[in-house]
Amino acid sequence: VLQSLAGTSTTDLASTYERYYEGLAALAEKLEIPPEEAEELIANILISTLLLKRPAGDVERWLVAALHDAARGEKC
Amino acid sequence: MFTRRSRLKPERVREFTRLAQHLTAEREAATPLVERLLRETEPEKWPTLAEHPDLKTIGALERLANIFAETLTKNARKATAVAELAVSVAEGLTPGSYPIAAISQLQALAWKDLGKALRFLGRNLEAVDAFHTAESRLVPGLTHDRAIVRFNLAMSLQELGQFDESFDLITESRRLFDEHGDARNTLLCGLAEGILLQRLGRFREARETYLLLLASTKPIDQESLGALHRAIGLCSLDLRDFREAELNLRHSIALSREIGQPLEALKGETALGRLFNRKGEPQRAIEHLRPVRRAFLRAGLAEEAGICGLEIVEGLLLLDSASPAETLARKIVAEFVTAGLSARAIGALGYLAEAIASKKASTKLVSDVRDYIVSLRTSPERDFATS
Repeated sequence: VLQSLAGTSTTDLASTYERYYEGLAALAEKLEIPPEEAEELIANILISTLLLKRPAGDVERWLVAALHDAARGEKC
Repeated sequence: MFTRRSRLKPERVREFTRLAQHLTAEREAATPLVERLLRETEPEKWPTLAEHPDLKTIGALERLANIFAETLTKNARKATAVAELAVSVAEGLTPGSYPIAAISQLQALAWKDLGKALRFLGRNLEAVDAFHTAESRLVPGLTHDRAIVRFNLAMSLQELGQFDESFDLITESRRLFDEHGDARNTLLCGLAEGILLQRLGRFREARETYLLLLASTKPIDQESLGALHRAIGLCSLDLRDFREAELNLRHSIALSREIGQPLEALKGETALGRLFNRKGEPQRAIEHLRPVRRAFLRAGLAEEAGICGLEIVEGLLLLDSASPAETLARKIVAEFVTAGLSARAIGALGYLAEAIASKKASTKLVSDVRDYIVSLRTSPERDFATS
């Protein structure tokens, strides 16, 4: 993920964030996560996953798993 | 219309893009910077580096984490010093210097590494504390990190004999890794589950666990495949299923050779020697194990040579050859002393040699000493007790 973000313009970075945000926000709604919590949760997940962890595999699956687990109440 | 969907905040987008741009530069600068600082500073003064402003970056902390991972199995004390420095740097990050999720993750991972280092040194109670601190740093959403921390906590709890808690944490972590599509960590959890079952003497369940991993459709690297076959072989050995044991041990040895891991292959050969002893073929075991032991000694691995030597001692006792068994046991003691290995291991080996000399040694005592020496790798403070 980093490689795809490194050197990309601010506009492209912003659209990457917005694209993933919209998908996760829709999922958060289905999972009945209160909007005020969902916004912060999604920000945490996107920063952690896209910028720090940078998984080699299926990023979307990773993001969805993180949100699902958060919805389960961070029970791990 | 009223919506329950959270709205995108422009300040979050700015925070994300700014961090992405900073990170590229930070990561580029961190490698030479961190390596130079560690090289030019005496290790006992590394704690003072925590105040160095150039280290207070994500790039520097990531580099410290890489150095920690590269060092842990080679020099656990140095790795501990690196982890302690990382904890100090991460805890000293100014609030607001990075988004909260980034700081949270960096602090948690630094504590997790310190916990791993402490576990490696056998300081499991302190390791458990470090893992609990790591978890306390995590903000909601950092599920994968939580699974990593809890998996490591499970490993330390296992060393402390808290098997049920350990088992639950491994199972839960495995589920989370699987949901993330993290095949490598899922496999590691499966292996850990099997090892725990083996430690509990539940060899059939352990073997089932390994066989399920083997049957999985997910890709398994050759190294893990070799480890799986060896584990299945060892379980089968304890189940006295000698045919399966030999098949899997030979497969594991071949895989280790194929991927250029001759020492792993030698460990497999040692297990094969044990199999011959168990099958009631001690002469074959001794002939098989002697060149293996010599290879370990040539590689400077006194401990592995000693473990292999103990299988030979067992074979000699099975042949009623107490005198050569005693000579070999004393030779292993001398090799451990020369290599500066654990005083506890040396004590247990000395006890064995004396027991053989006074005709009180059984093959059970030999296996107890061997298992004890192996256990000292993860619990160096453990005392020897024979049943």
